[in-house]
Amino acid sequence: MAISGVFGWLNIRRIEFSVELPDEIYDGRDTLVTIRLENRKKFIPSFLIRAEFTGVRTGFTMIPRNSVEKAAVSAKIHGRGIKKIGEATIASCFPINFFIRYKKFIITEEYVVFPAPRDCNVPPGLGQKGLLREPFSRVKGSDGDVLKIIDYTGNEPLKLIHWRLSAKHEGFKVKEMASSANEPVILDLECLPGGSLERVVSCGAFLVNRFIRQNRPVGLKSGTVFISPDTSRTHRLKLLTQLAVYGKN
Amino acid sequence: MVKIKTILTILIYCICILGVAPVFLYLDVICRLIFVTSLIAGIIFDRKGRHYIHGLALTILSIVFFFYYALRISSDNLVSPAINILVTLLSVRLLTEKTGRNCMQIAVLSLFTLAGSSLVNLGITFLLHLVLFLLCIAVFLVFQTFYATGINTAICVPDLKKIAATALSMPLISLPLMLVFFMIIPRTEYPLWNFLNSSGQKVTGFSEKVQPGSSTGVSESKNVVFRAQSRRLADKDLYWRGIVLDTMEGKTWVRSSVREHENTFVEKGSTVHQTIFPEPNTSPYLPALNLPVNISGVQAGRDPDYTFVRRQSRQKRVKYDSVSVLADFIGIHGRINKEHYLRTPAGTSRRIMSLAQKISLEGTTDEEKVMRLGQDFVTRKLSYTNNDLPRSEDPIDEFLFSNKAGNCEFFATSFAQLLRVMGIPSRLVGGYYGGTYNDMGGYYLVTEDMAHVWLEAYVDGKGWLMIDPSRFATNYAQRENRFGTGLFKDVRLMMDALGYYWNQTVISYDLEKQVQVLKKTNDAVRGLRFSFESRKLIYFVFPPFLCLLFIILRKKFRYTSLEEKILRTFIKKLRQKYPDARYGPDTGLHDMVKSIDDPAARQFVEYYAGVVYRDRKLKRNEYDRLRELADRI
Repeated sequence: MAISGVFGWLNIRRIEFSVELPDEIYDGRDTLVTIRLENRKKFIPSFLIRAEFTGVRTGFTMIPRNSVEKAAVSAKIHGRGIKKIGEATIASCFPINFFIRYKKFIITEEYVVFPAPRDCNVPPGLGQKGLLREPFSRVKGSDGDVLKIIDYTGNEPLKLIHWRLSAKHEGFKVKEMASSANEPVILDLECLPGGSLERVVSCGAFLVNRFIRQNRPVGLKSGTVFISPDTSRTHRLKLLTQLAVYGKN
Repeated sequence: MVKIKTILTILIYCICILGVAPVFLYLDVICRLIFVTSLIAGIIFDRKGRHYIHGLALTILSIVFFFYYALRISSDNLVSPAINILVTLLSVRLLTEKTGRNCMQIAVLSLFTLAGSSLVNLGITFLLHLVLFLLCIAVFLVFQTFYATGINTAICVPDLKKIAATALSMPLISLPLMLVFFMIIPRTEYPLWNFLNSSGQKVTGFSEKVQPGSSTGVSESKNVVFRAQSRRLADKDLYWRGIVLDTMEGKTWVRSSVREHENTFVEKGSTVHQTIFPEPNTSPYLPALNLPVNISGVQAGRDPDYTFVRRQSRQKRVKYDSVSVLADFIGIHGRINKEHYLRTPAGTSRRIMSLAQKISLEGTTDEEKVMRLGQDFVTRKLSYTNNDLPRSEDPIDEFLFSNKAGNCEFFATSFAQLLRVMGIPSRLVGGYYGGTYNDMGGYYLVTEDMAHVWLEAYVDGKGWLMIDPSRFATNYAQRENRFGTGLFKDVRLMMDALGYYWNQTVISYDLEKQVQVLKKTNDAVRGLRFSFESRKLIYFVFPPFLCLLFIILRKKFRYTSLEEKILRTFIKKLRQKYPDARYGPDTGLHDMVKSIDDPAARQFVEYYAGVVYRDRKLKRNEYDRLRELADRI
């Protein structure tokens, strides 16, 4: 019995716990979390380790000596905002299932939980309440505002020829139009529909994701914070982070 | 991939076989049959994955078996029914599905059965079974844990090997501990084995009476009676004296309750020292090489006829030392009570009487008469046998005149009886003749089939003369080698030597020895002195040891710069407070403090970076400042 106790103690010794979280975690949505256990023992493997963190559990049959084992589990994390991983536990009933040994880890690493995206029935058209149009869009198109009048080069579609101006000049003049599809949008959180704060940020997250998916630059205005429109992934995460912490301070 | 369930099933069968094997021969025939049938049926059921007998039926069966054997338990017969109960319960469990609970029950019942086997047999095989059992049970428990957790139901072979190796290392590590516990665990002065086997148990030893014609045959049992550590002797000297039977009660020779006062002595001769290890027996008589003059190591008294009688509690495994003189006669100062040694039973046959008369007339002195009688035995062409012994009303008469075949009892009693009729005092000596010398252990092995009876005849002027009439048999030489030959003999002797050492070191290790060991250890520690030889050893061993120690310590406490020292202190303190703070090849100090919100740590890192990453060494005041910052964490 004493020997089995020593084996149980050795089994759980020198194991490091860490969690690999995805960039995007949405409140209450299934997220794939990777639990990573590292056996730092030089000579002996560890067996039957059960790891748990924030209600997520997974088991490892064996972690060979000096190696790392990973297990991906689906988790639902509730509540938006910046969170700490906090307490994690590993436990093992090895070797003979008479006693279970535990080891706790306090992990101070932070992660952001974005608001759950929720469709708030905002039509794709612009000029709606809560959506501000940027004055001059620089992205070329065919259905937006007229950006400028340029000389006809032969490449422009005939429908863009400004006939009246062309009549006053020697050559043809064409209208250079902005694209209404890629028209930058700035979300004003105070004007977004939804009613409650949570609904507003959920709506914001939904719109951010939708517009960027459409390759449409999105910016954000919340109180004194103003983020210029862009379409990059980093920018999207920045917006979502802003929405996650909105109203939390 | 190997299914864990399959491994568990195989292991549980191994466990139950190892538990039952040592007691199998001691079980009732019914119990043996039940066990073997259940074992086979259990394997078939498990292979088919279907268990045909209902759980309730098995429970009822268990109860029936339990009461059947429980009713046989008595104060005289406690062990055997208890073991039969265990084995029948185990057999019933084998028929059930091998669930975790059932498997654990089988393992526990097997363990109890194995433990129970030590109550019926104290042989070295117990150790072998115990070690194998421990190995199997350790592996079984570990795999049972894997199965119970349900993480995986099958394991790949390399993993399986790793798990098995880890599981096996548990009992292997515990074996030396077992030895330590064996040495120190307190023992009772009166072993449990003796208490539980106080009666009803077959014990070895010679008979305290000789009654020729009481049975048609003699057992040829190879049960060990005793082992005698001694130098190798000539075969003719291997007479082990046990008891002297001086009275004839009808056809039976017994030892009279009243001792004759005789002033006996043994002439100087070749002295043989023996240490005798008898198997547990109820006989108070201590056998030793003929003629034993002194026995020590056990409380015993010597009778004038050189019979040593034990005064200690019976049946305890003991050993004693004996000093014997290889002499053919016991000298007598003064006279003996001849009348006592000449009594013959009424109804001695006419043929015996006339034979005695005839031989008496042939010799003039007692010594000559004895010699004549011996010659008469030779001319009669008597043969030695242990089978078809005479069983008539007068077996001695039948032996001498018609059957002419018998064992040592017939030879000795007929010779002694004839001597008494001839007027020469005689008495029988019971003991053993022969012994197989074990070169490995340096001892004689004496078995039950070596039990022997010879006689002593009183010759005026000389004393008690030893005579073995069995030697007059025509076929006596064939009786010499009874221990087998060739490889079989070698293997048997080797096994016996192992058993001998087992008995010496383990079985006879009692409270007394335990106290002795403690005392010796204490004395050894107190009187520890270094001789010149041991000093030389120290010169050779100590310097390399010091070098090794120095290397280890240097590695551990090697010179560290102030920069490294303070950094180590900082990281240690930081990790104490923030266990998951990471610092390594891919994580710098700045990254590390960024992940934690500690102003003191941040301040330390900024200051450290400012003073260390320069082209000069750290100053003392800077070190003190860093130390102060680290202490604030």
